[in-house]
Amino acid sequence: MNPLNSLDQTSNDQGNLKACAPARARLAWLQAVLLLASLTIGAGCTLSKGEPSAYFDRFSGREAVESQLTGEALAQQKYSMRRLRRDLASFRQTLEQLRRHGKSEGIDRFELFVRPYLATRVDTLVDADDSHFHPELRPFRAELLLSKGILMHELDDRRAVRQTIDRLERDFASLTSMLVLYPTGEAVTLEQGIALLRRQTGEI
Amino acid sequence: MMQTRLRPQRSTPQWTGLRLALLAFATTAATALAPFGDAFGEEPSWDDYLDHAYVYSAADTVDLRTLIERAEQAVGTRLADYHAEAFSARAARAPLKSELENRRKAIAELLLYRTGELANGLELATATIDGLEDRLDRHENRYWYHTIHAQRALAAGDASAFVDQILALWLSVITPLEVPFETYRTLALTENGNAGFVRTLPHLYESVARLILVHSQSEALDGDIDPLVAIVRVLADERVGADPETVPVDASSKDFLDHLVTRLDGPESDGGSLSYTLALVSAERAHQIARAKLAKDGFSNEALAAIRDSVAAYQRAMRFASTLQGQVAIYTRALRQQSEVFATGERSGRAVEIDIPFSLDRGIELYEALHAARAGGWERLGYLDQGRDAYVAAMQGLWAEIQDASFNAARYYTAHENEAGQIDDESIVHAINHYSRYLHAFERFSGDATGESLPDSAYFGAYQAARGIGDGVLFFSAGDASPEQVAEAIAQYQRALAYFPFDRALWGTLAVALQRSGREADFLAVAQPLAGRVVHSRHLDRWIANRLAQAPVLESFRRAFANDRSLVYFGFADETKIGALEAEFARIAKERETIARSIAENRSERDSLNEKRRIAHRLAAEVSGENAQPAPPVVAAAGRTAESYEIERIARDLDRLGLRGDRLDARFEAIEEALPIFKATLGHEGLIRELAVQRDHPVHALLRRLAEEVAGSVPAPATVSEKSTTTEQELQAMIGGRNR
Repeated sequence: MNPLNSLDQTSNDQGNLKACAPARARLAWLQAVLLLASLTIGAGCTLSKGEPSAYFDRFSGREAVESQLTGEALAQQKYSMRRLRRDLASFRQTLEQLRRHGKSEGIDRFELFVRPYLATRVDTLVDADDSHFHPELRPFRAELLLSKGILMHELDDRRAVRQTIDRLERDFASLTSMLVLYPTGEAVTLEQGIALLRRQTGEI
Repeated sequence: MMQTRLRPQRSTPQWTGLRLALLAFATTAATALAPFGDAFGEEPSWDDYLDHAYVYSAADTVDLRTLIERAEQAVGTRLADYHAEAFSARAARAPLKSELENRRKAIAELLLYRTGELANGLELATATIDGLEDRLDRHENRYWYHTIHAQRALAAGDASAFVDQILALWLSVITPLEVPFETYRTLALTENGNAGFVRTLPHLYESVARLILVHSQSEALDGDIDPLVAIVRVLADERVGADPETVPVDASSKDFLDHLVTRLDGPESDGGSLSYTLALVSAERAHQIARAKLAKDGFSNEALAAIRDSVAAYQRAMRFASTLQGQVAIYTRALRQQSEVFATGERSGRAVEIDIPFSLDRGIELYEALHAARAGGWERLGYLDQGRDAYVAAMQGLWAEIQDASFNAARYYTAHENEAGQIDDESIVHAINHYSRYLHAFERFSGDATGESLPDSAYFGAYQAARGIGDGVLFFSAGDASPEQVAEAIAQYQRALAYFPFDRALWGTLAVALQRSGREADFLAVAQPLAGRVVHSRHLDRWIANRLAQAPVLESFRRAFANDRSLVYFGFADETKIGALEAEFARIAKERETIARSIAENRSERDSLNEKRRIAHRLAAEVSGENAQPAPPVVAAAGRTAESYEIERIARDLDRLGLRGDRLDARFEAIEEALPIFKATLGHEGLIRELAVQRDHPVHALLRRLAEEVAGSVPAPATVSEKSTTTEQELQAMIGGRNR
């Protein structure tokens, strides 16, 4: 049995996700910063399973700590989102090369990895309410959507490609002149990035 | 030929680095584990070691054994005994219920399997960890679950299952831990806080990297793991080696990982295939081991076994190669190994008895496929991402190895003696076949206007091949070549000199071959067109004018080729007897002086006698009244004087001396002019050696231009003596050419 197929059954993390929702709600700042929200998903819930107490519960002056960390946390989120974008680029390259070699079995196998990865790692970021984002994180979010769009194209999922482009055009309608890094770290306006994505995916 | 210089070589830096890293990893792990007991204020225990096995469990087998032995010394109990006591014996009494105990048991079984102490350890570990399927909500359980199943897939040779397990491990363990890890690190909690399994992430990166890079190869996994290339790229992106306080960079696989990613994207990739790249890198490592053993021990049993391992590894890589690009990269290396084997055979004088199933014919077929795509379609051969430069470099690189392998094999056969200590005709045929195959292929693929198809050194190779064929033909039948064979040798020598006219000895060999076919008088007619190409070359003129590499040597040859007399020296002078030639020149000069002196003396004597005879005639006229008027009607003849006879003799001597002097003058002038020019070309044999061992020697480029300058004009063998001046014939006779 493919462990990726059985992941939903073998992992309780999704269930824990729901269980931990109240905890996330309490963390207003962390909700605004989705990576730290992921912390709650990934670590908080993990730690609750037999680990020593979650570290947030052990800080009495949590708010003070958070405010002191804002600058570092923001920098960390930028770093983390950029790396995530590069990871998606690696996934895309892998799919492209598998396709070039005609390795359909490998593509199927990798797709079983990529789709849940996007769901847990990317969609949780891009689906969040934009008001929760620090303004400086908006280009990073747009880059992730662009990367997701081209990745879905590699997976031959035209519907998901169209949805992603629609999402980009809707969420960033007033920010089309914003500079983003796409597709290979080159700075273009979001409008140019979307136009390029359309050309690459044939969604013209 | 690009003679393969065989010398012991160490592993590539990447492999050496990885090996060192493994050792360092093991040491680091041991160091990390050492204070466990102290930290808890307790004696070291296997529980602690097993709880922290994620640090060291991915070390290679040898290092893992060392580690376990150290731990056993610290704990005072062998791991196998601990396992038997703590788990097996207890489980027999009552099933283990604790999640922690089951996990420790599974880890212990995995370790015992990997160290070879428990043959069925992997099956036991799998069964044990499967018992925790209801507790896979915990990352630590999930990590060991997928790790053990990945090891099982490796043991079973199931590449697909291995891929699935690694991807699942990444998705369900690594991915959820990454963000909290970064946050904890920002807060400095990875070192000091209760970050739990999150803080192990740097070790997990390292372990996953080793599973993919090292274990898949040490288990000789022979299936497609290409989907994992994504994980390899992601690991290389600020993950492995990014946390030096936890896993020191020296102890990590970062260098190897970076090397692998470079290779994946590099010109010798197979369209980015991870399976192929890992197999090729592994084969290169085996090749290096074999090369070192060959250089050190010759054809020892160990060296032969290492070669077989290497060949098998290249064959394995070949099975993964799905593009021409990948196949070419393998053949380029495999042909190099063939070169090394034949070079060892030649050097040691031992027969090559190992079969390397990578043939030169197939190498040439691959080259032909590359060559055919130069006008279009090369991208489809696998070079799409790396570009045309990579395609051209691969094409030229493959050619260079075809050249080396051909010539090293040919040299081996020409040096290979039979039991009677002679080179038999069969060996000569093998040698000639290798040279002929090269020359035939060269003439098929040369002449490309872009100059991309062949490396510059291929033109020197054409000289070597043509010369090799000529030599082989002359050696045939113990040197008793037929007239047709001698004619063939002459034609090949002419071809060789057309590609490389600066081999002075070959001119002499050509003259010998002409002599054997009774055509020594044709030497100049044969030599002049070849020499003329050098004399009139615009490229060579610019080369010399710009004082480029070896310009003085090349200039000395050009001067010699411009002079027919010195050209005769090329054919017939014995360079080992230049001293005798110079002595002869001195003798001629002395004789010339003697003759001149004799002529002067004779003339003086003749003049004196003439004067004497004139006086005698005058006196005779006076006595006879010949001078009185009118003249008497008849003067009695006085008869011939003694002076007259003497004068007549002197005149004959002078005539003879004059002729002899003229001949000596001609010889003197010829030698005086030609000998210094010829002598200036001596002592430059090093150039041939340099060109033979340096593919990138600058003179290779000149040879290519010289050949292209007269493309298609490799002269046909001259058969008719057209012109040969008296002086040249005399010179030829004098320096003993006809008696060679």
